[in-house]
Amino acid sequence: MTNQKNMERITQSNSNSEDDLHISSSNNGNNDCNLLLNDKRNGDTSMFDDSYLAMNIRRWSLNISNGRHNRKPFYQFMPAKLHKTVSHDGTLLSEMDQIEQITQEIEQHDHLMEANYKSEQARIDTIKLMPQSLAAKRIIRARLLRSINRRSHLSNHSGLKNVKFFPNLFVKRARSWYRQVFKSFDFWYGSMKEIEGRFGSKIGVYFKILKYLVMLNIFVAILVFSFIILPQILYDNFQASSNNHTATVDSNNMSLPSFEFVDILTAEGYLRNSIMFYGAYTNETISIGANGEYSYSLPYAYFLTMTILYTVIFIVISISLLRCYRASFIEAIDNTPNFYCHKIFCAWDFGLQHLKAAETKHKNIYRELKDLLLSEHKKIEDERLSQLRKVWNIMIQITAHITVLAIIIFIGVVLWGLFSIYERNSSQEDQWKFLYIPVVINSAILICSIVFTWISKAEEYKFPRTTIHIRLLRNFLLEISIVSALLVFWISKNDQLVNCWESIIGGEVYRIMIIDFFMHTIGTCFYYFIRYLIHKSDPDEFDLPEFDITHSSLGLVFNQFIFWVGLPFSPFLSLIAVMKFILMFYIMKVTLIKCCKAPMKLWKSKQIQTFFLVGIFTTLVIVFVVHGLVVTKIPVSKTCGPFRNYTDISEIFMDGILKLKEGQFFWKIFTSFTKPAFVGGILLTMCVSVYYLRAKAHGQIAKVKLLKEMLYLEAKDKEFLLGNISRLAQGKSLSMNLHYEDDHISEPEMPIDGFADDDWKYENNLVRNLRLDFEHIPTTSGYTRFCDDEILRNRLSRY
Amino acid sequence: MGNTPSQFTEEELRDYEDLTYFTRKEILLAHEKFKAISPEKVNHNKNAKLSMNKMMSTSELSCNPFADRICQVFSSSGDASGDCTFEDYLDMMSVFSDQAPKSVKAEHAFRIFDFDGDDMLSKNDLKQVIQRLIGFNNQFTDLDMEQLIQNILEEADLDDDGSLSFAEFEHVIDKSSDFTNSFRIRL
Repeated sequence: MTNQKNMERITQSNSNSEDDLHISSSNNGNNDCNLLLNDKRNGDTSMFDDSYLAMNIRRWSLNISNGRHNRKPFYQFMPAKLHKTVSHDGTLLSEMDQIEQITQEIEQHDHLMEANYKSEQARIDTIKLMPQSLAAKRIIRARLLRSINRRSHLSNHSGLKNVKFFPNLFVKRARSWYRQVFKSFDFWYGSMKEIEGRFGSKIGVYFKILKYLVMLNIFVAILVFSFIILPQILYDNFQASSNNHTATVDSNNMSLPSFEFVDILTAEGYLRNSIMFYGAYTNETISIGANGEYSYSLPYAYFLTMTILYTVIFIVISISLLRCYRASFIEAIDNTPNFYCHKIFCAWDFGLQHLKAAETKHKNIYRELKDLLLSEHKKIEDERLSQLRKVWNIMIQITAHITVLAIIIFIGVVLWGLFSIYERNSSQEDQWKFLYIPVVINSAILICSIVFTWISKAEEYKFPRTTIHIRLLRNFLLEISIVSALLVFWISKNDQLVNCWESIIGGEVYRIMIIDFFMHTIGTCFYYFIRYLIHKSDPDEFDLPEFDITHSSLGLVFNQFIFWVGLPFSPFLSLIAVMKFILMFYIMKVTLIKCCKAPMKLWKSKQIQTFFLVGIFTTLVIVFVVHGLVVTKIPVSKTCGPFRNYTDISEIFMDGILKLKEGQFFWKIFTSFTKPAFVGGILLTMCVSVYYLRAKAHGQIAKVKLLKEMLYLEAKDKEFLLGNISRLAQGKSLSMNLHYEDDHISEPEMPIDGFADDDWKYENNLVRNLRLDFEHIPTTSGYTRFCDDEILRNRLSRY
Repeated sequence: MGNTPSQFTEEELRDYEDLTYFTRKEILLAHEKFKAISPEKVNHNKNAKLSMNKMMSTSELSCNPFADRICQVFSSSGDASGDCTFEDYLDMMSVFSDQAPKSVKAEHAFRIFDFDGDDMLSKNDLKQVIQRLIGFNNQFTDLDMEQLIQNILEEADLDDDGSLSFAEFEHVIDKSSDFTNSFRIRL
């Protein structure tokens, strides 16, 4: 009986893999049957054994060949299943026997059993993947090692072989060292744990993004500080004083205003010409050493550092975006087919550690499931939603879009006007006037974000996800329009009387960042605090405020955006950004823990992450375009900054290239790189690959759907056949009079056929706890069906 | 690490490093945590067996509706007592860590949800899972519960046998981007 069941399991697993069904993409099916085969071989003398063995060996070899091409050639074993099948046997196998079996199983795979480093690594990875206890794993490893040692005694050249793997060993050491170092850099671990423990992993995403940006900005700040700011400070302190005769000392430096406190807010006055901004950087080559044999060219340093920084940032962000996108959209395409399963199996956040959070979570899950069930009943009515209402909805949506666009354009125009007024009044000595524009910008963002939320509530989109997407998109648009107004205005003033427009943009961005900190971060915190106080005064009437993760994350994206815009014009901004983000982390954390509660409805954490990464990436692309224009097309200020000797910044690049190598070859390469066709080609390739991946994912869905249908049909076939057999068996009254203690199968009258003869001795032991599951019955494709038929034919022929 | 008197030999630590998804530092941290559950016992024997109640009193498990199941699944004592040694604890935290791959997590999740241990998620198992998820203060009517289970089975039960096998379960989990995020406990 056991054998029959096993065999049926095998056929099932095999057929799954045969069809390359999604289930078996993880190869569990195959390995399961591998193990089972092992188990089967012990007592089975069935006539089908050989064919199954062959089949399984084929699977094995497939496995192995797959494994070799994979990055990590390991297998998944499912001893949990093994355990079950074994215990069905009646002869209770102890844990040691299980271990023995797994060991034997692994020993089958030659490439896991070689006495070299690579195979050892694969072996450890395999063992790691097994859901066994640590002690069991240890024993398995020890046993494998023993048998390997025995084998390697037979072959002598293992020592030589190992030499080959020294680099691998080195790589492994380096990796584990890197991991240790990286882990120790994992600051805010405790904070993250606390936040996730209290509010769940979804709120944690905001802090994750924040932490990610902090890390990125720390990297930027370190580079900028060590290659641009520090040399300039040294230059100012040592060399400039000795080089007084050079005429390059900025004319503004002559009338250096004294430092006032308000300068920190406005970045004007004393700070205007300090190293905070582009204008103060020298265009000189700093000579070091007694005779000046070493030189450090600040313009080159400035240019190279910025270029490298932006390239690295671009690569880092692209990679994280791709990873995130892959995890949330490609590998897990859409969960509508498994909607309820997700709601159940992924519902609990195992990271929750606070009783209150757990209670909220219970409540949320309960409510959500309840809503789902309700909407299920309603769905049918919804489908009959009147045509009129649909038209009405579309009308509202169009109106909303137009309104929002009008608001965005209006704000852009107002800003432009403000800039003009500001420019005309620039002679006024009032320090505070510098703050008007940042305050206007920040209030515009704040108010618009609230207005957009209202508007999106009025629109009735079919999916809540669309609402959020549209809200995000609008906010991005607003930010882009504001920043572009700022940039275009000042860049267009480049050839006029305005002194050092680069520094002005730098100052503007600095002010926006500072004011944003006060208005956005402190303001939000204050808002939550007020709500909290109201809640305290009357807990029944007013609830605790929900933490608005979308709004806060949008703030982050905006901050990062203007930071990237401003960085080349103000290197010092990197340090400000790091400080600001760190402060934001703590302020938000305290606010969240003290005054907020987790929102009731949240999207999937991976998806939130992806959306914000998309936002960050988009802004980065815009920044690239802007800076590309600035570098190549816009003339630089003639009186300040490291590039004052050039007409535009790209000239320094050409200059450097020419100096570096007068040869034709590099020149050609560089000019071809800058051609639009090349850039377009790269973009096109990226688009095509994304399209390809998505198409592939969709193809898989279709395939799975098809296979599911086939599976279903097979199941029907099977039921029908089984019904026939049981009728036949009963008719012949050959059944073994077995007593089934089966409680959860609707058709307990499974036939026990002649097949059981072979292992009748097992059957007797089994009778007590025999169970039949329909899972173990062969299903699927025609391939196995053939086997099924054969089994059937054989069974029948015995009667 | 060098300064702190460790209860482990170099070899044991290397073993743990090889067999779990943790770095050495994390292993020591895990042991600190384990020690904090019952200091006198663990000081006496670093691999002492702590009772399930003790394990469930930790902040990581205290409010988890599946805490008892987790202990039972990871316990090496082989019965339903759920008593855990340090190695079991380490194993548990390793599976719940960020580094553990989805397949390992899925396997353990399956075992946690499989209350009766028959290697299938039957209707009864699903019922228990749902009940634990919504908390014991909330109740679904039998009809609603039946409807929910029916919906789940409709989606996931590919071979129509009225319960979920591991393959079916993994198939569902595999498609979810959120599973690794939610099936995670920070050390």
